[in-house]
Amino acid sequence: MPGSAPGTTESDRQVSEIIFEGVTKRFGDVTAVDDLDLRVEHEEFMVLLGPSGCGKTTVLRMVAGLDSITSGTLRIGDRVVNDVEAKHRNVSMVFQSYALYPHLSVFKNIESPLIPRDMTVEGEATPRRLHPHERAERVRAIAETLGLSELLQRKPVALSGGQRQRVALARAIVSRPAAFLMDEPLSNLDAKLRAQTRVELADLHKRLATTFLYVTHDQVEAMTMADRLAILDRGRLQQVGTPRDVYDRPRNLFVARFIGSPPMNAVPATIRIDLGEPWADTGAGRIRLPLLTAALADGASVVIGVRPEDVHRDAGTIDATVRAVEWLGPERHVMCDVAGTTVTIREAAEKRDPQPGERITVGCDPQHVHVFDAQTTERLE
Amino acid sequence: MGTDAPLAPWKRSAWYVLLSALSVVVLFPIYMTLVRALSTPASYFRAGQPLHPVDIQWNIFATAFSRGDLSAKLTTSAVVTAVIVGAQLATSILAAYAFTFLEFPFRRTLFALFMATLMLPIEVTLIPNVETMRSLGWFNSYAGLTAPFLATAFGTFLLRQGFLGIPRDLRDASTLDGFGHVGFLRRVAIPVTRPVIASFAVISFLTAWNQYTWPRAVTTQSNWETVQIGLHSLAAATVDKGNIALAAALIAALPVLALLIFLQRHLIRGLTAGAVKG
Amino acid sequence: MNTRRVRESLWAAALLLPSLAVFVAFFFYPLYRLVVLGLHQQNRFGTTNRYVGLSQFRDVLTGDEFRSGLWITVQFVLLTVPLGLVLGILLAVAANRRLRGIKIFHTIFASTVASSVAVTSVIFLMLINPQIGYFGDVPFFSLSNPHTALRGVALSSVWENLGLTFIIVLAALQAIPDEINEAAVLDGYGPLRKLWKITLPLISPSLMFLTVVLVIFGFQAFGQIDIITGGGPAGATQTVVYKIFNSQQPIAQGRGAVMAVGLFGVTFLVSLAQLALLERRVHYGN
Repeated sequence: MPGSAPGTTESDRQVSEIIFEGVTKRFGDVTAVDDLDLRVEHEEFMVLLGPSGCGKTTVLRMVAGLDSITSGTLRIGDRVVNDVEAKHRNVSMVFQSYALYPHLSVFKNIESPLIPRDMTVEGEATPRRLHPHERAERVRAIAETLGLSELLQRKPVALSGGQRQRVALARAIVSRPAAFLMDEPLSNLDAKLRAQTRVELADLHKRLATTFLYVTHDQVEAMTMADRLAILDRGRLQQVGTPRDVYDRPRNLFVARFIGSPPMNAVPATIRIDLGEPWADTGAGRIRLPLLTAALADGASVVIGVRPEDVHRDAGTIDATVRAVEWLGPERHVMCDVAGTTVTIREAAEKRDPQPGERITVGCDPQHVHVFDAQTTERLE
Repeated sequence: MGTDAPLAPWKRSAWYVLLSALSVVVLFPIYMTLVRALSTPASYFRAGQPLHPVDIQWNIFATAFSRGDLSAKLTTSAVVTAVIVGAQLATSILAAYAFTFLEFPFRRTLFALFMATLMLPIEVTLIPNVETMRSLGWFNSYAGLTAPFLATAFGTFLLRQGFLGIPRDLRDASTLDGFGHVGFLRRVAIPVTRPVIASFAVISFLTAWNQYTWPRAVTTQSNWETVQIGLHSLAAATVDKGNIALAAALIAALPVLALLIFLQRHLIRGLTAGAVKG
Repeated sequence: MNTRRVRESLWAAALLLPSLAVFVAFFFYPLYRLVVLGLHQQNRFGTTNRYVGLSQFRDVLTGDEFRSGLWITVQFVLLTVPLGLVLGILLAVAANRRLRGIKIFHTIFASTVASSVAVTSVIFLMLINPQIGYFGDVPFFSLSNPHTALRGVALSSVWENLGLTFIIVLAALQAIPDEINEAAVLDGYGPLRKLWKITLPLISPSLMFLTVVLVIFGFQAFGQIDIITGGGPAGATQTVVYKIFNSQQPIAQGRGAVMAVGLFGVTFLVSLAQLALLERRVHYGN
């Protein structure tokens, strides 16, 4: 189908939600994924974000069918796929290392998924195996779209990192899957290429109009590319939401500190109700809290979270001592000590830099204060 | 390699002299074989057994062929070797695949069992195996000559090493492409480990072609002898002349010599697997 | 998930079956059969089969037949292995240098690996045969003297093993990083001291491997005896395998089987002992 974007023929308009119901994965004694409930919407770009070992790659592999599911139900579309073989799940994957066949040409690498599969052919009712020339046609079309036409006869060893990545993408796209799975595809690229490819991938997502399930540990990638993010830590889902949701209303301390750079400040404090108004007492001063709710009891131990850009100097209610200053050009980071905890302030680099040892006061707008229970680290509203 | 430091010219020459002297010693038996094979025995003795050929008979090789029935024996050796190499490749690849890529109960025990067979050479199990051949009526037959060698744990070991070197990702990519075990084996596992497979094939060929004890035990008719056994018969029959048997020996060594010269790399890789680290 | 496991196990069974069938038929079953044969005694025609129990094991293993065969085999191993190792190391050390045309020497030194037992034996038969051999009248390894015949056979084996030994030692030498050699030279090591204190320890794992392999080859010696001496003169070169080979008639099978078990046991124990002893002296660097 020359001219049309790949993957958009009507027969491929497949229902491609991915639904996890209580999905758990155990390797022997180790629980890699613990009771995951998540719904990835049709055509959504969902990012699984978390530190190394949080289980995000395991989740991806379970969707792919590379790892079995210990308990729970996994659906793709309306089918339960727990016991369905990878081949029949109609998903494709871009691996972190690209996993290109080293002994095959670019052409043969891209062609690979078309060989054992039945594909729908225009004008025919039932999907069937493609003839070699039909496969060649589709390979060339994809190669054209991704700028690989000149490289079709080369072997992977003769390609640059960026080119290999595009071959991996081409191979994933050519089989017109219901969902694309991506395992940290940008991590092997240098910074400049990474930024460029981020844009290209987001663009690809729109053109293909297919579900993307994308795994990364890099929160910048996650925030810029995702329709929604799912943040995982040690096998458990911490929060699901749009980048904005997750940034403005983190559900617990882990999410709060994982998203945002420099990370949100976390200062231990005690709740004091004074004349019906809630305050958080840090030991070096108090901040007013936005509202009083049932969750805020007098004397409760909490952790106060304020993002570095929301902290301001010299108008505050809390005493602090400057420890270090990092100047970054248009802005600077001021690290100071508040009752034993380091607080980072992100401000415009105007006037003179504060000096280490200087005593300052800091404060912030109550609207920008996040309160977390000291025990459970959950957000308190 | 040794250091690349510049060598004084006299030192360089000294090494060449030493290496040449050692070569002479190593090659001496082969040289003398050629000399004796080409010489007419009577003339050679009359001349006092010199170090050069006497009264050269170029047709000695043809004579060896006919006297020792070499074309038949070479054929027998060729068939036996081909069957053994083919069978060992097949069984070893399949077994190595199972041990590398499949999970099944008692995998470790079975692998240990496989490796245990390496401790049981045919010399030890000779009597019962010959007994088996006798009762099956497999004396003087291709079946008898090849049966115990259709599989080898050495091959399983070597090929498993090769398969273990295939990155996990390639296996996963193949699965997602939609290929099962057969597809992965054919399209990825075998092509990517071609060097190891070639090395094993070379070793397998070498061992099968050169075998002595087993063929000696299961052939009683001269028309079923492999070329190695044929050498024994020929040497015993013509020990007073010597040139015929020696010519036959040279002929028998040719295929493996060719292997050494053209496939040296594979041969060396196969021999050093497990012996040398790095 | 269970079906996946079952499926894989079935695949595994199918893939392992061919090899396993061969191993059971020609390795494990014979091992069992050897024990059974060893416990019985047949008559000349194999028509009677009497159970004699472990007494046959005791008689044969302590008897002259086995012990003389074992002694001859041990002598053979002692004649072939140390000499073979030293020569192989010599060749490899000499050839491990950057000279133009060194590859030719490599091929020459490795060439004996192309020679089979039969070919080597025929070559040496014609070389040291008392009647027509070029060295036929050398008393040191004369084939007509029962005291020296084994040396003649050993000579042929030493030559035959040169190629293999050379290849493996050379590969091991080449695996030594250049920096170590250079450091030794800079430290002032002379060539012999370097060989003894640096090179040999670094290739000791390969040397150990080679020793075990060559000893096993020695214990299995048959073809060279068969062709060069036929077991003579006066049975002076009858190794254990040679005796086993000649014990295939029904009447001799019981004793032959016991000798085979004895040979297996000895080879196994010797290999274990070697691994244990040499393991301590082997240096696993890097």
